[in-house]
Amino acid sequence: MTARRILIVGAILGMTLPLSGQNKSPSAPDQKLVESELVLANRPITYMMINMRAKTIALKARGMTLKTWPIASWRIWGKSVPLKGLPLKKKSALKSPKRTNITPGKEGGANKDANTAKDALDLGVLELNDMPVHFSLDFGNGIVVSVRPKTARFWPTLVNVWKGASRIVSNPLTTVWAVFRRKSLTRIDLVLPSERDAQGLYWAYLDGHYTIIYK
Amino acid sequence: MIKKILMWTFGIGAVLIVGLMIAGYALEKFVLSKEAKGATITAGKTAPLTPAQVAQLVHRLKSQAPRSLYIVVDTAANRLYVKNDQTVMKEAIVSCGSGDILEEPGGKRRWVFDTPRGEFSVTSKLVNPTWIKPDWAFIEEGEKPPADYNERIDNDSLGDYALGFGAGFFIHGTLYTRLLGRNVTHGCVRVGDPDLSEIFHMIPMGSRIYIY
Repeated sequence: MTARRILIVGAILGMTLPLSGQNKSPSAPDQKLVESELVLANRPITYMMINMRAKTIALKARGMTLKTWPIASWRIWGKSVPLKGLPLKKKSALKSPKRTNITPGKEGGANKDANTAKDALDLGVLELNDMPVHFSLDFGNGIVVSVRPKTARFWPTLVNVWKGASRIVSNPLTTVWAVFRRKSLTRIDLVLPSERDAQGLYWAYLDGHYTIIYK
Repeated sequence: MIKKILMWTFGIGAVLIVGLMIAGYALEKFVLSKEAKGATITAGKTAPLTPAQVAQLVHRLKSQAPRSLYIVVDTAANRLYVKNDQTVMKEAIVSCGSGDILEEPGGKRRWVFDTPRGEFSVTSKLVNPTWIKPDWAFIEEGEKPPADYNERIDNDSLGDYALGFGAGFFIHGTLYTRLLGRNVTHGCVRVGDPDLSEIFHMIPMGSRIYIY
């Protein structure tokens, strides 16, 4: 009786293994994703991978993850995004961080020792806190990723509300304009869990940085 | 009369905008996002591979990663990590580039003090390194760059060790330990003496450095 049960269980397992095991054929997007990443991983560069399903943004090099940022929520409007490395054409923010010009002969930010508490706080250098929390990443061909943080602070919340409301109006109108001009249009709205995450992402993104957006 | 014209203009404009918005919504709903339904991302044309070929691709991807110790520098957080695969072997607080700009008075040269980002490798390992001060170091102080090479030699600023990673950039020691954790350098990565000694002895020549 026991041997018969083992045989039946074995037969069922044998039938289900090809479906769940390694013999399962990879889907076209999975295969394309690996191919696209391999193209970037072969080069001595860092690149970004925005995984919408797992809600993560990963900064990678040579196939390994250097840093990740979580995504609280996302929304896509318009055409789908091609599954390949897209170079960043332009990073823009309402208030872009400004670099300090050193005056020769005066103690500048980089050549100043912090001997007082005031100096230690105010070095006049570009740091993470100076980065914007609302910004957009233009990958060309009509693909624009907008980044904003989840926040409880008054002004960033107001900007979030304004941006959300303006999208209700601007997205349909730009869609009509894009179709009229026979141009492609994709708007991706990413909400990050904190302002620090948004600032970190702005810092990490450089012009020309390749990004693979996938789901 | 003018009031009537204004009202009509406003009314027609509002109807036009609302109409265009509805048209935009319809276009997005029924035309643009149609191919994205359930996918959001298009894979494009790709020749189907067998599972074994895909496994080979994944293996090739994984084999790109360094097989020995490597350094990762987070310039935003001013942190340096020595890693083996994904395991952090050592973490240190560092100082990275200030992002400041220096322009030569009356000249055409301009320097941006950023730590370079990307993939590098350890190209030199120096004990008691000497800094050959470049022109910007004098210009920043309001001095004229000297013609005499010996006037450029500085034996104190770089600390006990330095790891070069190309184009004059180093991971080196610092006199300004109070500023560790801040973005204050001219592009090099400054490390405190105890951490630097440990990193210097851990990392062999040729090790990869990833800076972001």
